[in-house]
Amino acid sequence: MVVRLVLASLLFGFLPVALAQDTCASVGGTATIAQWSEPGNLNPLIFPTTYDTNVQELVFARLIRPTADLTFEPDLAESWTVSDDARTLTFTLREGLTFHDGAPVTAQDVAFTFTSMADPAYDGGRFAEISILVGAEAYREGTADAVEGIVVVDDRTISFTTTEPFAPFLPVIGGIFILPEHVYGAVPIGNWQEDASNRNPVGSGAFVFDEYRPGEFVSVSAFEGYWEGRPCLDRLIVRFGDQNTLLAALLAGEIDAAPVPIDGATSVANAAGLDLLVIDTLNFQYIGTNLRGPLLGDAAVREAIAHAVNRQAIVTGLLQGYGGLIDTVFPTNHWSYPPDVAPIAYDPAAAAEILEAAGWTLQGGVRVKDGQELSLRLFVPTGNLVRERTAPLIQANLRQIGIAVEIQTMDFPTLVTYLLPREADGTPRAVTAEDFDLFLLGFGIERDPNEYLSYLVETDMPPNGYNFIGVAEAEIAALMREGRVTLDQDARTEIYREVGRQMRDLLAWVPLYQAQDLYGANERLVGFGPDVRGINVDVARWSLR
Amino acid sequence: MTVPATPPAAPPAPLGPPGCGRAEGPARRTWRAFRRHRLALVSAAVLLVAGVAAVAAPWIAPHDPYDLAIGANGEIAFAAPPNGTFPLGTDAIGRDVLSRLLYGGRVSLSIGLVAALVAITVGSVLGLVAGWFGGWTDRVVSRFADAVATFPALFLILTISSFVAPSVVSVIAIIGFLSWMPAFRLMRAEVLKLRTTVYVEAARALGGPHVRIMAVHLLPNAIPPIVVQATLGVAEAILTESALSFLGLGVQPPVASWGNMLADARSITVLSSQPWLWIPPGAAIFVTVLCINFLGDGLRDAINPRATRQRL
Amino acid sequence: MLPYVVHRLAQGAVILLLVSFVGFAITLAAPGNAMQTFIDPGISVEDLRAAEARLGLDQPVPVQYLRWLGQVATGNLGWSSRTGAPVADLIGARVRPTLTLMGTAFVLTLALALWLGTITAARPYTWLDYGVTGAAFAGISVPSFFSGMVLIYVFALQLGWFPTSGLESYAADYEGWARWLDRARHLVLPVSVLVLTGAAELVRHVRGAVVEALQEDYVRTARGKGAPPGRVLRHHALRNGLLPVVTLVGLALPRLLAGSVVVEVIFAWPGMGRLLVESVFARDVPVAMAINLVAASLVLLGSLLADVAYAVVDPRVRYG
Repeated sequence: MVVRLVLASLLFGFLPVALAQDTCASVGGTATIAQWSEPGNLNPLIFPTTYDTNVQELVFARLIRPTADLTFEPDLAESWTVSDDARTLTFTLREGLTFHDGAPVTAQDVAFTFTSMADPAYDGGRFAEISILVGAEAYREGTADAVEGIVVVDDRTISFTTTEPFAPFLPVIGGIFILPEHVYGAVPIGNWQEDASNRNPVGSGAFVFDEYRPGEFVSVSAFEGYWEGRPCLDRLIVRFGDQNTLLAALLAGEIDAAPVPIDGATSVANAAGLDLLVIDTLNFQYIGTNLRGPLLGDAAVREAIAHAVNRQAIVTGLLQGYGGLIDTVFPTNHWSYPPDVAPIAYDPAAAAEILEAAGWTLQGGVRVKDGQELSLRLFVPTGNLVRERTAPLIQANLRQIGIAVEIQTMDFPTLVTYLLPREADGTPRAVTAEDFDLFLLGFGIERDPNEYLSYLVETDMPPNGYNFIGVAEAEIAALMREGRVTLDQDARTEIYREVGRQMRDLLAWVPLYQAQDLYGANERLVGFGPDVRGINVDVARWSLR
Repeated sequence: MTVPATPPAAPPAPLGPPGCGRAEGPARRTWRAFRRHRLALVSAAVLLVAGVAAVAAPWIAPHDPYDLAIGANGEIAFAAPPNGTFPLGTDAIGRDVLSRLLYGGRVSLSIGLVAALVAITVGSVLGLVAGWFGGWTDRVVSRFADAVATFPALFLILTISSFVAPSVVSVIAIIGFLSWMPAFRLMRAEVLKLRTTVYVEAARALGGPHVRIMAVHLLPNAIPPIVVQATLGVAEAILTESALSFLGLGVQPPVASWGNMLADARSITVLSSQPWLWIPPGAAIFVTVLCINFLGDGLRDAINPRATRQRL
Repeated sequence: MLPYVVHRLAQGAVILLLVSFVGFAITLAAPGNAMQTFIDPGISVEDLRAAEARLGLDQPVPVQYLRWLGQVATGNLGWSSRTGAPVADLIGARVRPTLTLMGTAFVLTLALALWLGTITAARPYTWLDYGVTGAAFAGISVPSFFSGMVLIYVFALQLGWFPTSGLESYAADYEGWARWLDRARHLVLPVSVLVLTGAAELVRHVRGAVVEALQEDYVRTARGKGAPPGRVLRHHALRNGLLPVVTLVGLALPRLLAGSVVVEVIFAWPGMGRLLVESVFARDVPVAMAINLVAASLVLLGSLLADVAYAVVDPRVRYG
């Protein structure tokens, strides 16, 4: 395929070429995939959720894109260079790129996209990602006419300069879809969300946006001018709906591929003509602890909790084996995971001894120390069935060692009101020991472990950031900050692994499990192969048998 | 929602008063009457059993409904089929289905009973006030009832339950305070009718206090149709709770209700290969609601075969 | 008649105001807001709060309510706080599927109720009568989400007679009649659930009304004059028995609307009920409020139409 691609490029010069005949099992047809929730915004610069990104990926392209092994490969940019001081990245765009409406993709469009994120009127939530660019703050505050660190060298060349060496800058760039200035620039940035363009996206990705029928589907069709060549499919439909409904549609052959809830795995595996695909992800689940109180502030209590929960039973029983154990705060399949981390053993007897040694003595069924009962609330957000089901198991396991747990189930926005509390008048305030005890939540690396920073440094405790649990370890904070500016990958790997080891000992997050994602795919859909990057991997090469 | 807020105005169907069909022989009529009563009686018996089982749950449940069966080595029986230890098997988390069914019955039946009680209390009091005082009071209260009645209850319930953290109490309150309109209409109509009767007028002429007149003369007459309404309200509340559970807004786990047990089993795989997860709660809801409806119908006839059709 | 209609419409406006007020008052107790569903490592708390401020979510609830009310008074339902889409567009797209579902279900329920109600009334206290009533009772005793799932399992997966979900076959591009047929096939299962859970009451009403009418003097007279039983049933008894059923039309609307929520979710039907569920979970207050308003308007309109129809059908009724 690579050889053919090069050959075709030689023959046809810089023009994008329809390679469909060569690389597709077949050309044409309409495939239908599905997701469990409707996309909210189709403008990629407005609060993107996974469900939004899944659709945006079809329509938009980036300068660079992630590979399966979590490095980056050229997308719209054919190459890039890094300056000696490691602060400037320069990208060269491919020749002859066009947006779906035929307009050329230029460095000016790239500059427009990144500058928009720093616009004073922009409130799509992604300014923080590019705030490291020289002059971004000044532009945002209105004291500069342009972002100094974004320079259009020529039509095909653009450079970005950061205020200091910034290790995760490539991942940041790899997460930003390029918008056509002549479309989105025509709308005041403060109006982006309300504007029709938010439901009618124009990009330069593999598929042209056709139609969005709320509550039903988004439909896209092959982009003849896609730089990798015309996609094999004529049309791709993304449906949305209830998990079980979509599973039924998959089993009935109405949908070609869809995520599968764990309860549906055997149905898909046993269905003729359907494949069950089991995919590793970078997401895991943990028990969060409020480190502020006398109960969870006691390291012995956290350690006892970690050893008392039968995490293997969660994996084999609730996940039906589709997942694995995890012993610290980084996903096991990511380079930041320390391979030598001490495993957390399931050992209720040891857990009880730890509590006993720390002065927590059994009175009735519950342990007590200094007149204080070891009784904790566990906040369980809805929306993840397996996670919800772990709550009673955790409760039962902890009861065995004399910790009383009261489960409170709530939806995510409600949980947020405890994690990011506010005064009665609505002003955000600091977390106290009373706000919450334990909570269940998931975390995942989207692009880089630097994403943990706000969760683990003392200065980012609410109301200033996401460090709800109250991690106040100076060393962890120092390591996290060092990881941000360390460019040497080996050194960087070691820094995050050390964070992983320290978080394992701290057990402020008690790691539970790392689930795999399940997809069902009809055998007639060829080339469908989701991986850590999501469902749309190689979507331009999907075809129908 | 699924069960209509059946106004007792609904004329009795086959279970209705004998003798209003085509001419029947006395023997045949008696047999029909017997049949009708037998169905209502059987229903009452079934409900009694369900109620007793729910009340007695702490004593008769073989296991703790919230606790997992953890074995000696820490192993847990997830979704185990019925066996000697677990007569109805275990659920996906490894809890005893039978125990949860019994405890779930407590929750579901109390939601039904208390919500219906709230509804008839609110409805009766307002109806009594509106009917007795008449005039502006009546107009305001009646318009208010119209407003609530014309409103699709589930829509409002949905909106409310998203904002009030769902719990047994909130579910009861929400259902109760949104389904008092039939009781209100009944009570008001009854009061309006009785106000003009001779004995109430006589009582009034004698200068009896309002409260006393209402209590002594109106309540006894108005109560029977409202009891019927309340009976049907119990069924409706149980179904509403299950629909809320399905939408994730009902009684929240780990507390068991028949509704959330059934909603939890909502999966194609469970439906086809793990029947012990859906048959118990499904059957419990079905049988209970069916029996309540039969009972309500029977009660309606027994109380006053004629009154039921006057509003039509 | 006209003053009556005007009076009813004015009354409706007051009720709608009340509904909106209650809805907003409820949000006072709301934990969390629309922006909190977006919390993500990539998004800083400052960025999150900036967006809250733009949507006015940081304002006190009374201020938010008055602003919203002023907007609605000028005919603007506002924008979804989750997606920014105009609420009017969002709901506009959902009204038709909901009405299609409800309308079909209603017509079928009525037809079924008239048929079953009449035949059972003609032969009361027979096995047919008991069978129909028992089945009707059974229909209302199953939670609709469960009957929906069972129907999908049996008729879509096992038998393959009908599609599982959606409004039509999206990938198929049917034209003309084929498209209508395809849509009709998609309607069958969701409508069945609504009919199953709604028919019982109407059957009982029709049956009762006809049974009563059969005892009236004019029916006895007609019978006495030797009219065939079928004719007596249809022309005399049913026609008069129908009158009270007309009032039920108004009452049936809110119930159908409520029932459609669960059905729309289970069959991935793009209606208002499902939109409401989704906006409730997303704390999308403008959308949830507007749906409540639209639903209440539909119901009010329905009951007004029912009353007017009643007056037209029954000459004895006069509205001042």
